[in-house]
Formats: sequence, structure tokens, C-alpha cells
Amino acid sequence: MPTALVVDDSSTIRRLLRRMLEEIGFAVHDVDNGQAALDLLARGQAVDVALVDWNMPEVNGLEVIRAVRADVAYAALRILVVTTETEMPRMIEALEAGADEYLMKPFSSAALRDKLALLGVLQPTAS
Amino acid sequence: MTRPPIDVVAIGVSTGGPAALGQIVTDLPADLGVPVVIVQHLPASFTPLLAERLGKLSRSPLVEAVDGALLEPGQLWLAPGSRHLRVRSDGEVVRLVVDDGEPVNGCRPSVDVLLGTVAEVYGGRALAVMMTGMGRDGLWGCARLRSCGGQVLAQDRASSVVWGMPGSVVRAGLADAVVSLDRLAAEITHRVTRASGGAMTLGSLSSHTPVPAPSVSAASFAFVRDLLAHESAIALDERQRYLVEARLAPLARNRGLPSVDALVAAVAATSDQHLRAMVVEALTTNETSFFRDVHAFSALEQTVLPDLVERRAGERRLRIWSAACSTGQEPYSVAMLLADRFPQLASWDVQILATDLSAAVLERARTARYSQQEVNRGLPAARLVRHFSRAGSAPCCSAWSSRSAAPTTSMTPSANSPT
Repeated sequence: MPTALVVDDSSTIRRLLRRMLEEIGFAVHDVDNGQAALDLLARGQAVDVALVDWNMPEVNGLEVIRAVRADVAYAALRILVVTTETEMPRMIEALEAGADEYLMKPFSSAALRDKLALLGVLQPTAS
Repeated sequence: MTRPPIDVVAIGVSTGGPAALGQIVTDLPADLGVPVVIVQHLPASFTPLLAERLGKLSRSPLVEAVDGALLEPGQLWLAPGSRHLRVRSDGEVVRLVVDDGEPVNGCRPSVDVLLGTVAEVYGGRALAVMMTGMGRDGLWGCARLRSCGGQVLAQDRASSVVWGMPGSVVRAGLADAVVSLDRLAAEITHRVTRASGGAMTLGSLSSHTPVPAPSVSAASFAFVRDLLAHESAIALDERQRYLVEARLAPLARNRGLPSVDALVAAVAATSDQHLRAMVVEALTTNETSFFRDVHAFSALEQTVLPDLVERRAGERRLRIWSAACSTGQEPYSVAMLLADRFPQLASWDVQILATDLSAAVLERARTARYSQQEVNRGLPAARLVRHFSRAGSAPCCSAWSSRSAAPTTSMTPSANSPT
């Protein structure tokens, strides 16, 4: 079973993502800030894909991405930014920092599945 | 917009109801001028006592409903415990029906059952009042009533013991007003007497024809909007009412329902998760998305195009036809693929012909502008960044404009098939 880590300071979004991810067969961990995400990874928690919000207090999503990408131990971790930031320069900034994909809020479960398929952590549906 | 006068008041109430009803019937004037029918969720052994107590408090006659009784102005009727209460038109008059039909929403009496028949008999000339109580019995009935032009009041959260039933209609956007218990009787009276240019005439009642619902009612749209917000975090705005109609009409037909409103009412009334999921899916799944069908695009990139490029190296000419191109995601996906993976085609004569039977979707394909929800689907972020630019932002969804078509290709959306 693939494992997803949800990093978002909104409990509503965490609940929503957890439900959507569990429905399509993911084991889900969630944390409400960037530091907790880094701590979880540092403790050796195996994660296939991290869904990272951008704007969070203390350690924001971009800082999480940079920290993860600076450590070769997490080279296989796929990172999907899930954010209300929809301006092109922000998107480029995230991709350059090492994000693999980018999903703009609000999003549908179909859009989430598309992104996970693009990241290779989900088998695309046959249709 | 003037609304029809009110000819009947229907009250639905559950947990906390006996006390709340006591206050309402005490506060209602003796000369309200219309009949009041009440569904209080209670087992059979309790309602005789409740009717007796309320009857003492009320300035108008209040009794347990009796099957076949004539529904007359100035009379209050309480549904007997464990039995359904309905209304039916009988020639020029309206009568009560008390029966032992199947429980609805796990309830008998059920507010939905009463309101459904009230909407049928009175159309928009009815006022529903949703008071304190657990669950959502009455939500469907309120949606039904609103779609006929009727009115809905909801007791407010602060004065409710449990804000389930009233909360459900408020969240569905069905409440005309949300009112505290101590103001509820006054609000009912106000709405009943406001438009009474004349008391109900039975002739006008029997000639009442249900308001046709050619498109999605405001109430149904509100319900679907809230459902979608809850289930998918997608925010519909009012201008997307057409989308709700277009996407849900086929589903309604499949289920043998006469309209989208009827479908929405059925969804509101049921706890059938499958039906809810189908509605959400119908609204969130685009028939088309960028790079839809990973396998097809992978074959195009790995096999079909390399082969074609090799075989056409002499004439340096390539024609690609996207049949049934819908709103253009497929032909633009092909254009992006060509630009990214086959840069040598820049000096070729390349054309992508995109056709569709629908002029409306072709026009959208031609504008090459897509909503945030559309670019979220299937389009890799790297390609979004490379091939799209922001095209200003609409109030609700930001639009993205494809500048993909790349210098290498020209796009020709057309309603005609190529020859």
C-alpha cells in the first residue's frame, strides 16, 4: 500500500485529503506544520508522496521542499504542492525548488488522482 | 418578485419539540386564517398527551390529526405518533390523510412525507417551518416546496436543542429566514398575512398547477453547491447553474426522474452514498481533460509520432485530426506534445484539425481559455508553466490561456469533417 503524507495547517483540508487518499488505497499520515513533516521523515517514516501546502506558520511548504531535496535520503519521495497560490511565478518557484507536481485549491478528487498518476504513485484508471 | 399568498403552514420538529411547540402555539394568533399541520417525531403513546397539552395553550383548536378530516383555516393538526400525516385535494377541498406507510428517513411520521404532499397540493402557496430536531427529515420536502415557489423558515441554532433539521435546510440554502423561537410565531403570522389580498379561495387552489421547472431551481442549485463543496472542495458559483443542469440531466433520466430538481430532491432525501457519489462524480469528471488516457498519449509519444516523423521526413508534412475534440484539451495536448518532444517539426508544415458536433464546445476550443479546475486535470505543472499564461482572473475561477499551439503547429477547430 503506497503511503502519503499530508502537510497542511487546515484541518478541513487534511480531513478531505485523507478521505480522498484512503478511498484510492493510500495509507495516510497527516501533520499540521512543516517542521512536523520534517521530523516525521527524519524518524524514518517511509513515505511515497508528500502533499504539501504552501502557506503554513513557522516552516512553510517551500522550506519543506528545499529541506527534503537537500537530503539524498529522500530522493525517491514525490512532492505534490497543494495550494491556493495560483500565480505562475509561484508555481515556477515551487518546481525549481524541487516540487514534482502542483495542484491548485480548490481541486476535485479526479484532479488529485490525475496528479498522483502523473507522479507514478497511482495506477492510472483504464478509461 | 412577489410570491404567492400562503394557504397552509406545515411545521416539522423533533428533539426539543414539545417545549418549542408549546411556545409557538401560545404565540400564534387566533385569527391566523390558514390551517397549521404539525409533524412532531414521537411514538404513538405520547401524542395524545402532547395534543392535549398544546390544545390548552393554543388560542385555536388543536387536535391529533384524523384521517379524512377537512383541512380548515384556523385549525391546528398534530400528526398522531407512529403514523404518517399527508394532505390530499378532494375536489374543491383539502383533506388530511393519516396512514401507516413505510417510515421515511427512519421516521414515522415523517416531515418529508407531509411536505411532499403539501407541495403537491398547494404548490407555492405553503410555508414550511423547520424547528429543533436531530437529523435531516424535512430537507427534501423543503427543497421540493422551494422549487414550487413555497417558503421555508428555520429555527435558529441558539434557540434549538439540536440544530439538525433546521441546520440542514439552512446549509442547503433553502431557508427564507432563520428565526429564534421567540420570534417564530410572529414571523409565521407576518408571512401568512402579508400577501393575503384575500383569504384562500378553494377555486384557485384546485386550479393550481405545479410550477414547471425547466431548469435547476435556486434551492436545488444551493443543495448541489453545498454537497460539492463538502465532498470535493469545489466551489460552484451561481453562473454554473447551467453546468449542474447539463451534467445532472442525463443522470436524472437514467434514474427515471422527470427533472434535475427531482434528482436533487431524491439525493437530499436519501442516505444512499452511491447516489450522492454519482452526483459528485457527474459534476467533477470532465469528459475531457488534458492528456486524458495516459496510455494513448504514451503510445502517441513513444511509437506513433516517432514512426510518422520518420516516414514523412521527405515531404515534411503532418496532418493530425482530433475528432470529437470537445473543448479542445485533446488537440492542445497533442500540440504541447509535438512542441516538447519533436522540436524538429518547427520547420515542417504541421496542422492539427479539431472537430466536434457541438458549436458551443468548438467556440470554447477556439478561445483556448481554461478554468483552474480544467488545468488542474491531467496537465503536468511543467507544461502548464511552459505553454499557458494567465488570462486575467474571473471572480471565481482563474482562467488560463493556452499559448501552446506553438509556432510549429496551426490549430483549426472546425465543425466539418476533413475530406
